[in-house]
Amino acid sequence: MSTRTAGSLRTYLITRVVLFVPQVLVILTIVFVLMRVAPGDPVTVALGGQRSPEQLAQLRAAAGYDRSIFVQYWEYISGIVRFDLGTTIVDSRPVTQIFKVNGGATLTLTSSALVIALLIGVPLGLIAGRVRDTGLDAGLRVFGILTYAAPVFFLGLIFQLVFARNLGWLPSSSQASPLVLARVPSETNIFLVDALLAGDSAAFWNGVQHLILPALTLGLLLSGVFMRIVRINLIQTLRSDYVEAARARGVSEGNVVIRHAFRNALVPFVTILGLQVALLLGGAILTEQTFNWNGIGSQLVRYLDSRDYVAVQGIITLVALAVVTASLLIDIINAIIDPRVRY
Amino acid sequence: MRTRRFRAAAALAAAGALVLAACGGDDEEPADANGAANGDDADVEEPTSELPIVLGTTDTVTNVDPAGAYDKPSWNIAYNVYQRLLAVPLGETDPQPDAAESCDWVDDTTYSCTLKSGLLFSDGSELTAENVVHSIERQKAIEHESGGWELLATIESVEATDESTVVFNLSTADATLPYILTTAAASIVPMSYPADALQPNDQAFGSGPYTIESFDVTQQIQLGINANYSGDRPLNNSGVLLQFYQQESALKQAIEEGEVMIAYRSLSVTDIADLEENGADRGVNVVVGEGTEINYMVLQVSREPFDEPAVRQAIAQIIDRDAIAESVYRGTVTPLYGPVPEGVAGHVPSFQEQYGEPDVAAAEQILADAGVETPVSFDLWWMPDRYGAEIGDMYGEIERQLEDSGLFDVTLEQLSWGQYSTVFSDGSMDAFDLGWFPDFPDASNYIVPFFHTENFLNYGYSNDEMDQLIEVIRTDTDQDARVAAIEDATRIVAEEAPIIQLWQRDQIAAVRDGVTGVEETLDPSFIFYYNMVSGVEE
Amino acid sequence: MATVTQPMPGPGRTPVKGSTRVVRLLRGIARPYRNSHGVGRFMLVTGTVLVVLMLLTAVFAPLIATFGFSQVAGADGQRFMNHAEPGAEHIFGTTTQGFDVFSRVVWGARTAVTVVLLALAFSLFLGVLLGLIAGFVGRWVDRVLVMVMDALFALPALLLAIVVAFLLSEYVGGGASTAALAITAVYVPQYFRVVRAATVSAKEQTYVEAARAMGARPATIMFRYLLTNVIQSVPVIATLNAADAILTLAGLGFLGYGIQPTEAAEWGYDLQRAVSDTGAGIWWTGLYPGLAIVLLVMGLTLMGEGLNETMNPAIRVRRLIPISMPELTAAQRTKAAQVPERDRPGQDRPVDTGGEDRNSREPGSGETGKGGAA
Repeated sequence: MSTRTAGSLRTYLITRVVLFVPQVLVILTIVFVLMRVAPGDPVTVALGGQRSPEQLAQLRAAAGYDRSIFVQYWEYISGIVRFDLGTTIVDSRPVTQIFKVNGGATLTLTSSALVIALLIGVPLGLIAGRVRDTGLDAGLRVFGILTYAAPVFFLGLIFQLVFARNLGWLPSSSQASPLVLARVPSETNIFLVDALLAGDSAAFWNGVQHLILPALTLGLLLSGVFMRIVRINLIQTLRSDYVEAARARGVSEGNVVIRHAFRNALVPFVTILGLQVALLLGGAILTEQTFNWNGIGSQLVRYLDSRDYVAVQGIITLVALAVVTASLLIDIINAIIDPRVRY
Repeated sequence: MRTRRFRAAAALAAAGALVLAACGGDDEEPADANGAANGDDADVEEPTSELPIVLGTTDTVTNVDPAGAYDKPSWNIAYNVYQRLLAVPLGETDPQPDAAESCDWVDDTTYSCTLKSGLLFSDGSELTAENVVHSIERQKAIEHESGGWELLATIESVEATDESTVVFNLSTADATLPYILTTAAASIVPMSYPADALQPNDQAFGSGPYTIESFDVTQQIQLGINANYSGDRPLNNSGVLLQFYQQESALKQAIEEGEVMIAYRSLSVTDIADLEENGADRGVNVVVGEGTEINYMVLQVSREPFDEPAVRQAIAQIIDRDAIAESVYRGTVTPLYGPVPEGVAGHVPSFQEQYGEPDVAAAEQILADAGVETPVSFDLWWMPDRYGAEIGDMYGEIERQLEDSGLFDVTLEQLSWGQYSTVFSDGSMDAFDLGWFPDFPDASNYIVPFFHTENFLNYGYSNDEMDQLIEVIRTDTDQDARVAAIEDATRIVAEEAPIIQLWQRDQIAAVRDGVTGVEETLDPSFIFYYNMVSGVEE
Repeated sequence: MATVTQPMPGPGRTPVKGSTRVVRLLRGIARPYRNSHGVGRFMLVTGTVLVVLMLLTAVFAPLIATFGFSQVAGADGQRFMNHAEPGAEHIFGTTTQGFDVFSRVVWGARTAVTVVLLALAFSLFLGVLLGLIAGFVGRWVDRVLVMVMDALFALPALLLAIVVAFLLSEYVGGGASTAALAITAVYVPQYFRVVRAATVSAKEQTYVEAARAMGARPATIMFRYLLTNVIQSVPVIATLNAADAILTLAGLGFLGYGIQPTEAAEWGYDLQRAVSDTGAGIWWTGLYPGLAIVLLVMGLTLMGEGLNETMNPAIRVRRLIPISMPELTAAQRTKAAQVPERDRPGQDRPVDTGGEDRNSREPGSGETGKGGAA
């Protein structure tokens, strides 16, 4: 790392941002191909049934699928540039509207799940790595595996049963009670923020109560993953040269662990965070379904059930864009805090 | 997207009740300005709660513009937001004035209504005869694919002869016009609604007791009180909040936790059984109302394999409705053996008479006699989000019954209602499930829309004898002759088995302690009048 | 201690006889168990026991299950009760449809194992093939494949699986093969990644250079030398991915895009149907399929992690943080930037750390695979 300078950081950032465009283009192309690659076309897939060739031709023409694939591709891509992803078939909503209205719910769920996962996963990972190969380590690892092995809908179901139905501590579904939802005006479409904007602390608290179970369910899933990464990173760091060197210099073991190892174990962890965006969103689909959470995942399921391929394609496109953007942001942050990333 | 043959069938649907043709303006049934609409006259003043009534549902609302929907959940909002000229009061069967002062026949094909004066839309504009003309004309101009406008098929023209008088000119004599005018298809909309396009849902408003305050079909619809409402319906609450749930289990949890005060359509059989047994401990009661919903399987008569009557008969011979009612629905539905449900005049268990007990050997014989090669394969479609999740189990059961016979090879396909509702009539499905809520409680409503050559299902069924019977059903003033014709038609249905009826059931809702009025509104009209409900906040 | 690079077949080794081969195979399988100790051994053994039990259940499902997976009546024609409590006749009770829960769970094991094996076979085949090609051929082929795989990887796994299942359902039907193909789409990029990186580093190895110098055809090199080398990093990933695939399958089933209930018993679908039951105090319909998923996934994960720890010394071998890097060519630099953090090691690190690179990545790729986990 002898030649690392501020200049290379700038070069890296520029390269990274410039490369974002082709990266997005590739992923959009993949989504496009995916939706068209099925034998036939989405119209046939979506509607199924036995239609006469004339009927099908008519439907395809109506959907614009009778035109050249390149024209369609161009329309798709240029539509995205204009932030126009078409209008859903079933309820004539602009696809972008789905994100505007339902995106906030998903954002609330995923970000709070992420916080919970960090709060649980990182300390446990550090502990497990510190005491590796002991009974405690084994126990923590089994816990980590267990949180991962329990499907979110199973875990969610157990939580609903225990905390909502049997103990009655927390509500089991939705973002807030219907009456509370109705009284808070939608400004940002993020319920908790809206409640704060409205200065309605009771509504805010109601929203928090509703958030706890779904966020915990999704957070636990992720926490096991985080724990594992942190643990391995710590073990590797503890055996690295500079930690050895610090030990050799006579730095106390406690200081070695806290001042050198922990910090260095966590930095590469930030890198991995970018990859977890996809995991979070995948898990969110099931969590939203389990907790009647009105986010993107629920909408995706709703439109899939109606075989609304316009909506499905639009949602996938936007999710893919979100993932790529998130990983860009994380890479940038990461490059700034971790010099090793910039080559 | 899809081309659709013009169909007068839906209008025929309403055409049955000739003997009930006496309407609001008649001598024997004097119009009452203070109206008996909705049976409110006997009501003691109910406590009006400050907070809106919260009603949870798994239903899907499409459009609340009456020109853009022909489904119960959407219509139900229309019934609460708009006025119609006439309405069938709760617990009754005859149309009575709603927005009209009185209505009367001028001659066989001319019908005239006088409007009440001083009716206002929620935006303050006046409701005049022009509005009625506008409402009907835009229905027919838009011709929305949901098909509600077809109910108005016999109306050739409408004119406003003065501010408060509107005259309907019919293309043929149609004594059921008063009934048609009670449906949401004839809702009276403001002049500001575009003549050739739908009004956006969040901008819809009418002159009914409620007005839409916010509209998000994925989450909730808020209805507030229309301050300008001057009709006769009592207002027992200060607003209604419709909360949508994707899953029946979530709806059940919501009512148990007190998040919603009413759960109406649909709770699963398991949920209802649990609530009936243990609901009281959690402050929930199950309310059962009159009303006959039926469910049936349509066979695509127009092409293979169901163009061969023997194939249809073989299915009718095999299907075990008792097993469905017991094993799938655990007794919450009653097996239905004919097109007209039990409890409606003209009911005949014609399938039972024709086929007796389920009998695979007999089915095999039917197919063998007709020289049909077995197994016969076909796609069978159902929707998970319209008539309850048990529909899936029911078709699992039917698939098993049919395939165990070795005579059929069934492929199940599912599609949600949003899309299903627009494709079932385009002939693409070999066989498909549907349910029916009567537009009005008369046997004709279970025969005419389905079995006339011009039927709303577009499934290719046509039978001259049936068409003649339907003519009698539509026009004969002798009730006995009508019932006899209905019974004959029922027997033909069993013989030909173009549609196989499966079950019928009552309306069910779950309500929190302290909620009143739900029982009253669960009447055979299948309209949930929100204004009837009042709730005490716990 | 076995390292990955140890058993590399040298060029010109004489073919071993059949029996020796079996012995060597058995020895190879036993090696991780003999070499493991402590927590690693505990995990490996526990995991293996769980997985073997599930495999046996799957294989002998017809013998173990008391009834068929969609059987609703006993041999006497008497229909089962709906929601019967666990008892003598139905030890796990019956479902809302009157199915025997125990039998559904047992048959579900067969479904899960079938789908996962199919998916593993498909994705291994595709992933390894494409990875070898990309790594060996390099140039634009490599770049295009990497870009495509990266894009696939960026999509949430469950989302990808759902969409593929949705698109295929009309043509392939709602059976095990649709589910397997949907899951395949999720895991191809992972195998591709690992195999490609390993290939890139392995092809620089002396013995490959030697073979090339001796005039071996590219195909020979690719399959004879690289494949055998590369394939050794697969068991760990395969095991972890299998765990993940079980969860993806269950997720598909839970959402209703998996296997149709009449075609096979599937745990995710059963759990979805059990949601209503749970609210009504009927616990047995959801508990058992749920536990089955948890046990199988845990077994596979324990086994995978145990294997990882035993076979891959990265975690125990002193790991050097590379201080000096070989000069990057412009193309490599671009690639490195394009493929942040995932593909770098194989390319940029000193060649002789190839083995370690794989290892250091494996936990990561296992982890990220959990996108589908959900």
